[in-house]
Amino acid sequence: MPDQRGAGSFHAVHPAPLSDSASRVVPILAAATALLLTGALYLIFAVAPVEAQMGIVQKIFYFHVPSAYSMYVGWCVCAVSSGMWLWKRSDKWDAWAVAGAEIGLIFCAIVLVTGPLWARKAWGVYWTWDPRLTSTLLGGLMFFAYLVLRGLGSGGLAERRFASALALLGVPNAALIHYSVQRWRGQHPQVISGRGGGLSVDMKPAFYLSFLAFSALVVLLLWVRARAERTQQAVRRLELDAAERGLLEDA
Amino acid sequence: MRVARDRVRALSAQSSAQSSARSCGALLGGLLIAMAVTVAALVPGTAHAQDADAGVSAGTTGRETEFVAMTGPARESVPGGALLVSAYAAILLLLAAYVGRLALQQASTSKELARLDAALRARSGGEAPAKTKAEKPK
Repeated sequence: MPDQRGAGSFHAVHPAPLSDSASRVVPILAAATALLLTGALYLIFAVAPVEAQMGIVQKIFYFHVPSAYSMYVGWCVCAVSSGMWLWKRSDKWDAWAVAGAEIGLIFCAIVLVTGPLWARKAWGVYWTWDPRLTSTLLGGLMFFAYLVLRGLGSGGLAERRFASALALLGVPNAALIHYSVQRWRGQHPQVISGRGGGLSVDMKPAFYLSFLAFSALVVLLLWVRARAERTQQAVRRLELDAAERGLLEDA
Repeated sequence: MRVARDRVRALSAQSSAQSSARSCGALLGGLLIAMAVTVAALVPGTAHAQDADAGVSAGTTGRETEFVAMTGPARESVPGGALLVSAYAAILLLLAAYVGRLALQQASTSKELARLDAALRARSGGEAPAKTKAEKPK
């Protein structure tokens, strides 16, 4: 039924193009992120002192901890957006959920690679079934499953609903990761949240700048990925609608 | 049909406005290169600074020409410099791989839009689409 709905309904089916203002913000944010990351690397390798007991391998910490924080941000964005999608059924929330899951998983991979490299020097082994390590691995597998689920089939309503529920389950796991060290007394250090000596004064600028750089990086990546997903959604719907109207029969 | 083509054009405009994605990709690429250069410039020096002591002590004991029995408990020396370089290289590679994937995804969307635009243009008799504001050269 090619023209049953009439040309006017085309606008109703497809949302207006995305705001162009973001196009101006993104390059500025990218440039700021590049500057912050370069500054953080300078402070880490040229200014921050070498740790007395662990030596230079401790410098992994400056990117490891902000990566873990970025992982939490990604997963929280995914969980909140999934909840909003279940409630509102808006594609906008769906795009943010996918972006959050992907970015969270990338930073989780960084955490799970850099952590064992530090552990090899500090603990003598790459991996141990410590509560925090185990729960982080579990969280990574959950969001990997989320993305596999979203990639399966045609991305139908059932898959999206199930994936959203999985993302919501990731929230208690994120809390579990954070509080596992205090609750079960694992081997993982608590330099930032613990009651010990904390971070040496000379190490703080490098750590805080790394934190700021990773905050900018996670916002930038989330924004770019969500926008790309929104465009893909619009193209997919447009194509489907054009095909339904018989406009693409000769193509 | 006209509305459909307008819509495709709007999305194409958006896609070219999403040169933000491309320019952002370029900036992110620059970011990763800046990180690589900084790491390459700063890490080896720091890494060797620590490993130098080990090298000196190894040289003075003449490891190449003699084996000396150790006194006291055996201790394993783990190369911190190599672990540090591996960690930062892994971060760089993972981020670069993800940015590359985003760029490929964006290219695929642009290709799909071009295909849709061409199909709709052929359907409407090949009339050239009017330039939208976002498509005008800056």
